Amino acid sequence: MSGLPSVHLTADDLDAFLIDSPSQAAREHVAFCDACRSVVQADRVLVAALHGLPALVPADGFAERVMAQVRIAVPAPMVAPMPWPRRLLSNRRVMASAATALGVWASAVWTASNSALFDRWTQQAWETGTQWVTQSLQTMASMVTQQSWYGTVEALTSTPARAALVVGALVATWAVGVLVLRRLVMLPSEPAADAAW
Amino acid sequence: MADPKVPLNEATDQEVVELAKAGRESAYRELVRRYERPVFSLVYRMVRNREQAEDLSQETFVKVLNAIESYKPEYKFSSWVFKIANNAAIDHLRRRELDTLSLDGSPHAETPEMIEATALQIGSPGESALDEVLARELGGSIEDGIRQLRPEYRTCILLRHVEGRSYEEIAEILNLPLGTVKTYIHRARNELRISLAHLKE
Repeated sequence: MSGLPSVHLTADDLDAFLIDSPSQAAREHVAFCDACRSVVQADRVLVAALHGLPALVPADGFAERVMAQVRIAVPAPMVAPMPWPRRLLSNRRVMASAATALGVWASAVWTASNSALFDRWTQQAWETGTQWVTQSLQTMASMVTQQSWYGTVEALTSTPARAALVVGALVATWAVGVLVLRRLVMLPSEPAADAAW
Repeated sequence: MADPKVPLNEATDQEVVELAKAGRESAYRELVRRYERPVFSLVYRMVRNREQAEDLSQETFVKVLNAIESYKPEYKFSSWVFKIANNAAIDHLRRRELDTLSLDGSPHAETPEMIEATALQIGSPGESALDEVLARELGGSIEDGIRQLRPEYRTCILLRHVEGRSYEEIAEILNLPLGTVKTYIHRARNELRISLAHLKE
């Protein structure tokens, strides 16, 4: 075998010689270049010897030792498809929708068959409701008018111009408050100098 | 899906893996049977210690087979096995210094029984005694040359010229660019030619 004479062939050329498919140029070069020819020959011998290296065998019982540590995959059990009535019954959302629809239907049927009674109940409910709302508003109004500051507020809003001025001042105060809050809660656009870890 | 009627030894790797995923123990054994020699040969030639090579090969198969459900069929099964075996060997080499090669048993063996137990078994019986001696001598020189290579060259040359893997598969196994694999193999052959130069005489 040869040592390492200077080679003019590329690694791809040498590979091509190993599978007997060198380019014409490489073949012609090897025909007259002793150094390259000796490398090509040495490569062939070397690769043949490498191919001929025996496969090495682990000690007896190797497979058993491996299998003793292996968990055999358990495939997911094949579940038989459920019949559709059972599939529907097992779905909570479907059951809730069905119960709601049944309730609405029963209500509509009852209303249609008891329209006189239903009208009377509606009338009573309306009267009771409006009475309750009126009384509540009256109570609230009387509570406000009995407050000590009510006189001042009434004086401030006694004319439309004064009322408009007060409302304008309140709106302006609210807008300024919103702007100040936005400034306070806005994130800084650049990280602080000591933010790096 | 693999056809369960096809004999395991005629099925492709992908089909055997499918059967293993379905829980067939014989499919696991078939995968071990197919790859125990190539994997053990690669690992042994990397670490040069029979006991450690056995442990690392065993570790490789246990890892592969216990993760068989995560195997992606778009990759070659052999690439996956060799990748795990090579990683195990490289990790091991990083942890220890290389032992010297002995085809005749561990250098640490102290009794004839231990020498016998640690001697390499080669898988090509039937040679004549003289052939065996010559093959042993040449093989020993090449093994010695391989031992002296850098680990990355060693893996590449073993996968290419002993296991017969393509450049593309080696690149996939080692996670290296194709050009790097070609360079490593070319350099490894150069170094082996130098180390075997004495055989010419």
